[in-house]
Amino acid sequence: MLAIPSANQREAVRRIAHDLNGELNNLALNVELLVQTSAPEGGAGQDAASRARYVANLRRAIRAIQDILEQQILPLAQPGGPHPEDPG
Amino acid sequence: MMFVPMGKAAESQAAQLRALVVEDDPGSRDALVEVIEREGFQVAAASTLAEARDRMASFQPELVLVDLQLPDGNGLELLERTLDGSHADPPDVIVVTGHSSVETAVDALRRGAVDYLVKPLDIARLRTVLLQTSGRQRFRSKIRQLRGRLRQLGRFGPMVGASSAMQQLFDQIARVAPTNASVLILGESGTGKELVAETVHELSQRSAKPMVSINCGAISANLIESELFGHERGSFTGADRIHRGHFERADGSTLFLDEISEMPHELQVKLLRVLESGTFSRVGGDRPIQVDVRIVAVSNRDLDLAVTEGKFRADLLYRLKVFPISLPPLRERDGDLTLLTEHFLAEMNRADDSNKRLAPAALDLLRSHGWPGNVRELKHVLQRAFILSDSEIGPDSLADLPQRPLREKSAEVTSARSVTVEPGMPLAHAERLLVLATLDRVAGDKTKAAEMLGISTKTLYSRLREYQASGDWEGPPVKAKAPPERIR
Repeated sequence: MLAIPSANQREAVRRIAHDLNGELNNLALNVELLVQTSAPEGGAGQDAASRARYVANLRRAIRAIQDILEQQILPLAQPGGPHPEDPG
Repeated sequence: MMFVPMGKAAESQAAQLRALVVEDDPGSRDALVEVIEREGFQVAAASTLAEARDRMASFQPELVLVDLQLPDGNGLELLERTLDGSHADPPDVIVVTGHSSVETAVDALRRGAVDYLVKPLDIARLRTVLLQTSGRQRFRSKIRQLRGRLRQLGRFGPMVGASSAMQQLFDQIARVAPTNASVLILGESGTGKELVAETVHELSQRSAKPMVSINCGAISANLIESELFGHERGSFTGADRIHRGHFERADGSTLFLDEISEMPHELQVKLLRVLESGTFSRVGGDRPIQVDVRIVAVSNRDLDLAVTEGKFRADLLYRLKVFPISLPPLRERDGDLTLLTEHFLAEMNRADDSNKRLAPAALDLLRSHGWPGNVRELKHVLQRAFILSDSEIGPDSLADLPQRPLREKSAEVTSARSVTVEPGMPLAHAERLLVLATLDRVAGDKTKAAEMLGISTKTLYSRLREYQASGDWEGPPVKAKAPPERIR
């Protein structure tokens, strides 16, 4: 039977969701910008630098999502892993 | 940054619109700024609430996208500051959050946010929200334009007047109406104080609810407290049920206090307490009731004088006088008499399904009157003349109109209220100007004029006879008034 999560547990999960949503937001916005600057009518020279920046942002966001997954979410799923209420 | 012609529809509609992005995560903030810029907005960014407040003041955005979780507080705090009524034209606020819940969304919308976006942002929805903001702003700008055009035509809401005095008044109303500031409207009887109060309410963010009015001079002193604050059941004989007073009924709206100078002194204390705390208790009750009420008070008496005489509390006057508005008397509204006459005639013709006109001679007659009863008097005179006339309203239908006692021959008499006395002017000449202008100001009331001038009526009559003989005054024949018997 599943135990009802405590307020601290809920807060910890909410924090993870908040961080993850933030990075997913970065991803969504930079994908949008990349799509806009890659469109045929928008492909002027100056956009090449912008596109490179968006790609770098995308990579950074993907890395951050990976970190959240590996360091915060996956350990929770492992038996004997850290409890959301554990410090650190 | 180079502009890429994306979202052209939004871009053309949103031209010149300013958006403020409040977001602490630098990556999301920069990307969101770029996305919105590409929709044609001019965008500024802030990473904290404090920074956002500064940007609000300097950048004056029409749209604010604010993250809920900020390092120095909750984004909703900005919403409260923005929509507290201190901004004449508050921006559209859209709340953005990474952790959605129905409660937060409802809370944000209840506090005045126009929309709520959840991270990760759905770009199509963001674009829709931006388009909606553009539409709303376009609509507001159109309203502003139309109001401006109406003002050029001498109309401002239900008010009529093209004179500079009225244009200044319209400016004041337009500025104060969207705020929550208390307004004190002063002016002679018949100048349209209630109409100004209605206009302030109609142009405010409280106009969705009706304005609640009470005439402090028309209700007996023992009833007014219960009328204003309500009463609990059994609080006095005859109080067989709970009564919600004017303050409770005006919650979220405007309370119009007519003839505020007539409010009993002990009630002034209670009113002051409500204005300071926003809370009060019903008569016979002790439960504090919190209300959000904007006060618009009116007086045709000099409240400063009433304070000096101890009839009105100074602290209450300061509270009410946050934004005083003085209404000009009709005699100081150059050119408005014709405009008002046309307006009232058109109203009467519409109501009567007729097409009556005013003869030029009748208009001249109206112009020559001093109008001590102001616009109300003009309206009543016209109503009477309208009823008496068939197709044309001639001077004969205005026969009862009291003739203005003086027709200034002297150019120095510039208005009923002011005279120009040049240094070196003969004393007798200056005296004549002052006497005639004072007489004009009190609409020919010689007793009143003599009192104001500090001379006896006998002296005044004597002067008027002199002026009449020299052709400087064309008033009715002046007979000497028998001096009162001296009482020893």
